[in-house]
Amino acid sequence: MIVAERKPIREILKMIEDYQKILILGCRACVTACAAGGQKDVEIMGSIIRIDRKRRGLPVEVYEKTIDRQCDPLFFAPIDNLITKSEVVLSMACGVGVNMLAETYPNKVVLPALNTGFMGLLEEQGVWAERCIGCGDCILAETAGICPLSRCPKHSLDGPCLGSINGKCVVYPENQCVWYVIYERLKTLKQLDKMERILPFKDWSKTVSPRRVIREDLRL
Amino acid sequence: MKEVNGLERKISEGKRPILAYYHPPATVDLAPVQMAADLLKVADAVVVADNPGAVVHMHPLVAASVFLEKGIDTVLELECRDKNRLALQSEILGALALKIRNFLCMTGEHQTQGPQPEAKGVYDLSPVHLIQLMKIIEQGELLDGFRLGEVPSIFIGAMVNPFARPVELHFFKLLKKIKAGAKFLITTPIFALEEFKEFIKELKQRGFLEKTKVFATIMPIKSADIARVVSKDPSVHLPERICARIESVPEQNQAQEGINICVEIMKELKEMEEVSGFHIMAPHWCEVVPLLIERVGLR
Repeated sequence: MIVAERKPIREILKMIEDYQKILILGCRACVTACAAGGQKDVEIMGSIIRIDRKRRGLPVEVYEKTIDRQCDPLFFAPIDNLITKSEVVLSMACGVGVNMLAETYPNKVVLPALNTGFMGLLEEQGVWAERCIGCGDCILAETAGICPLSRCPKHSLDGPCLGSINGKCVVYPENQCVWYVIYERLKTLKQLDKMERILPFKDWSKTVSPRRVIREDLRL
Repeated sequence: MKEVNGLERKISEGKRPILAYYHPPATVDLAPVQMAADLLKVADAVVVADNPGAVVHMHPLVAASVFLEKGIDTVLELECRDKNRLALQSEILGALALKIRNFLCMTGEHQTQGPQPEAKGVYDLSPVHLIQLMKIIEQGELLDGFRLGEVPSIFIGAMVNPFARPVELHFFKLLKKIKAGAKFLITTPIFALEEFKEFIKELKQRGFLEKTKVFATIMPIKSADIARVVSKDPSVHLPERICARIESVPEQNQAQEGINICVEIMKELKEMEEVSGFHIMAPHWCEVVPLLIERVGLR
């Protein structure tokens, strides 16, 4: 999933300072799963904004809505009226959702309520961790399905650094060294010979923005 | 046949070269480098660090040129943290043009561990790839196939931590470094001799010593405070008994005690024929280099 976090409340309140009709738009996809921009988060955000305006004696009209996905304009259609009558859409989706809104509604101010982080998974209750950097050239077949690029702060493709001691990462000692994880898993899979292979130089050109996938077989 | 460079030749002649580790200054003048050169000229080569500790220092190539002007050989550190493959290739070309022949391929400490943690780390290549890149250049080409013409022989080095565990995991990495073309290894500082001897035994058993030479690193510790700081670095195995020994003497004698410890370790290392050379790591204490050489009787 795409993992995001809500921006600091003060930053959000400052962003919407000049607006009175605010649509807070949540997303039921990834940001619901990582407890940042789902229906519940939209309700909390609505309450915070109303309390803030009431405390300061300033008028506000807050609409709250959560749609299935903000990265697909198909889902904007049922709330088109709401978007039109709002001065601003405070999107609680990931950055992709914010972009989609902005591209779909050229005359509407769209603001991000979240900081979008990474592609990751829930490691334990309340802890999400990165697992894929979207390098465009997956090497997981070589590394027992464990990604060294997303889990090694030095992006090491050739093994543990000198500071990896007893399986701990030198940069983030609370983390396991990803090469230790790979090594242990390859051992279990009886594929330790893979540890001896030197992987090719990474082709970083596949990460150059803006990236795009074109499927001629699917184009109209 | 390419000409063999000085450091490699000395090893092949059975001499044990002494390397001195040097941090270029964070200054805009060369005077501190020139002063250091006067103290470090006793060494066979000076290892010039590349933004060590993810802290900004003068460019190592510039500092290295000062040593070379004074007739002191150098080992140029190349770190993958700050430079992509384009920058690394241009730096290697520049270094070769300056007649630098020895290179140490490293990743470098992570940028978040230095005083400018907001910096973007590059990590385009890993050290094994950097070693491969050096081999390609040695064969007269750049990564894009551009022909360079005649390129001299390069003495390519890498780092190794003899105390890192699990041993098998770290040996896989070491194997890759040697397969890629590392002709010499510089260890992390040695304080635990028995464990180091085990490491050397393992190197020998695996046949690694036929392909690569080992420089044993000695790190003189100047004070109990420094010992405590060093002991927190996971990549340095500093046994508690060494810290305790330095702490046990009065503050004014702690530097002397640090030297005594090194002399004892070096004397034992001197007896190990598998140790091809020494690397004295005292970047902020250059005066200690001639002192250690004399006391251990290396000259």
